[in-house]
Amino acid sequence: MKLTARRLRPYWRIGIMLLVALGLGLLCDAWRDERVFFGRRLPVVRSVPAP
Amino acid sequence: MSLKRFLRAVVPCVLGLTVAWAGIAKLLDPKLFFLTLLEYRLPLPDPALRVTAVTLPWLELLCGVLLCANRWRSAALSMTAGLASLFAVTTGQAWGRGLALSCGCFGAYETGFWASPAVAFTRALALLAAAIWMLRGTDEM
Repeated sequence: MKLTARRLRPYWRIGIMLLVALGLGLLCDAWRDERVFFGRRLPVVRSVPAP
Repeated sequence: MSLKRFLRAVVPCVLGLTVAWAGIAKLLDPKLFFLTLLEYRLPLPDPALRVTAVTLPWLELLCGVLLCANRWRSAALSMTAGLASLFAVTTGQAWGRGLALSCGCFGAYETGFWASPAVAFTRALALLAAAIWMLRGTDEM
């Protein structure tokens, strides 16, 4: 089966959809007050070994 | 008009509206969606869950709009099938592990029985079946 541009079209369209969704998601997240991706991470609490 | 032709005209719109509604509901409160994702206790790193929480609602909205507008049909149906498979696996594992959580599919607009993992799993399978059925008869590439 020959790989033609027509045959590959859905795949690059899926790629465009993913990129657009990622771009819009990050853009809107940066713009919001309550940020999810760009928000402040909670510090990781590690257990301290007993002396 | 035969029943099959009627269904082929109506199913993409119903599928599109459902997916777009789910996307909009999540977009209204992304933090709630992120907290719901944490409740699933998936073996994924924190940044991956955060990227999913900000990207997935837009992807759903995009799929829904494209399906309703009958544009990029094959790509939109493939993406919807992929998302439905992802939802089926996620909600299925939550159901199997007996996690008591609200599925978060339609944000805060879904509560009680309809938000249970079992119902969400069944709904995801129905969406997947509809997307695959539509995809099989799509000539447009």
